Amino acid sequence: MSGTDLRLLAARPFPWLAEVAMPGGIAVSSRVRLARNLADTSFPNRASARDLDRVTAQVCAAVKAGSSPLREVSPIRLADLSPVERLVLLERRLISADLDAKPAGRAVLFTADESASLMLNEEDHLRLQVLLPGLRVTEALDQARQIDLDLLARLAPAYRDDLGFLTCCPTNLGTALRASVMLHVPGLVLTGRITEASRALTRLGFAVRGAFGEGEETVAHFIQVSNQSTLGETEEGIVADLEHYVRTMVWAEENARKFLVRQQRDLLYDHLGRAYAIVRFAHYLTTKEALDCISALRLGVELGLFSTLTHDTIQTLCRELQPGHLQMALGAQPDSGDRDRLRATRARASVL
Amino acid sequence: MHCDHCHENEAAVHLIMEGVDGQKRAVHLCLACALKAGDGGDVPLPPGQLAEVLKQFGDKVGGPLAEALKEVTPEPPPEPPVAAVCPECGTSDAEFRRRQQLGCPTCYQVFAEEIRQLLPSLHRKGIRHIGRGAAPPATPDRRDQRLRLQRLRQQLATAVAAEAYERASELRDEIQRLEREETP
Repeated sequence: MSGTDLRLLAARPFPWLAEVAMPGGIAVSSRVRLARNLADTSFPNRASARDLDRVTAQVCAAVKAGSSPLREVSPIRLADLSPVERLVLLERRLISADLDAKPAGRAVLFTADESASLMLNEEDHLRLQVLLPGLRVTEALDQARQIDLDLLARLAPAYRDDLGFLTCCPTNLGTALRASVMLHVPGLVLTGRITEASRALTRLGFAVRGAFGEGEETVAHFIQVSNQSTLGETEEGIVADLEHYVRTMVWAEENARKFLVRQQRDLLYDHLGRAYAIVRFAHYLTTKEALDCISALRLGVELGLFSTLTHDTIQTLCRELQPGHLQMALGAQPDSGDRDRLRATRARASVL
Repeated sequence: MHCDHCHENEAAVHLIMEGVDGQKRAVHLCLACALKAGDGGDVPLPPGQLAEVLKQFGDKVGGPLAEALKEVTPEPPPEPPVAAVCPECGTSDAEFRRRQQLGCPTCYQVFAEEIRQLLPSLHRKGIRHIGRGAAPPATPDRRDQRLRLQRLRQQLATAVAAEAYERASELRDEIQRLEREETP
């Protein structure tokens, strides 16, 4: 993929953030990830550079010879990209933070609509991902399976009847399936119920983490709920359980929003008003501040409380305010102080 | 006095027992035979209680008894444990434990025992794979079985969604039974 292609990609809305006919847009996106390794090669953490290249060549040949949607796509070698280009792919959720940090010997293929992406030589030889907007985990699993079957017909995977697919980390053994849903839960946060809800999910065997940022920078309003265990269950079982409990979370968030609207209107309006004011008038905006504001504005749009803002505004803000996309659009790599100023400038322009 | 059983070692344990006929008898055993009797060995003694008593005796006196036993039946010194290293990728035992990552598919054989002990804490729902296999789609004569499995899985998903957990666990059992039949 050329530099121009990546620039064009960076100008497109995030497909997984598309407006969906789902009440409140609470379930933002669904993701299914399958990990596979080749039978006769060391895992990427112990493989030589030659091994990694051989894996890339073998897998790409299998993809080309198959009939999956990835067949049409050329692989991108991460080492050929600049840091900003890699950051754009990371922000679009096409590669992982690990692949961004260590690009040597690694590659990625993804479809034009960005729904399917295959990382090569991340923690495992193959990491296949299908990412769809809304609550569509079962559909994502079906699509991932089609591609997986297509590849397995031409590659010999590391597999044992008792342990399933063999992965670098024993935490991924068996189905090697990680299914997750991103939820937008400002209602639960504002009504102080998010901690309780997260704990309940953890007790049920799910992992809950902030969808954007890490550590102290984590933006609490967008969370990612995923299965913890991958062994001793079927793929369908994992997905069915996840969708079941996500629906419960969606219902809880709907209730929280109703409560805010009926009983805590001033608190709600204050929250929305401040976010709007910051985006409208600030001259310096950090990534975290921007994401916090986006969360509030998205809630306002969902509740129909903004007359001038739409889902398109949210899309633009979400995309343009992320550091990689911002730098790609500006065609420059300003230092962080300047970035915050330029981010604020673009934000003001988006809400006018 | 020699041991009544092996007739070799000096008797150190002296027992007075009442047999089923009401008669009292004296039994004299060396430490080694007394310990063997406690462990259910081949020392011909009245069963049950006596063996228990000897076992407790052995447990209680453990240290000195074991010490004494060493004089009688010297044991070879235990072999030092050999640190496991995968012959394919060179990953060592210590590395695996430190990073919680394996180096290649062969590691799963080399570190089988450690992995087996680790699995229950990582995967609470079970440590045996019951999901899809690596083989391409089943051959035509297996198709009915596959379809049946597919239907059952759909039903399971519905049951779970409807919170009908009793039904769900019945379905799960049935699915596992069928899957065990399927894999050779």
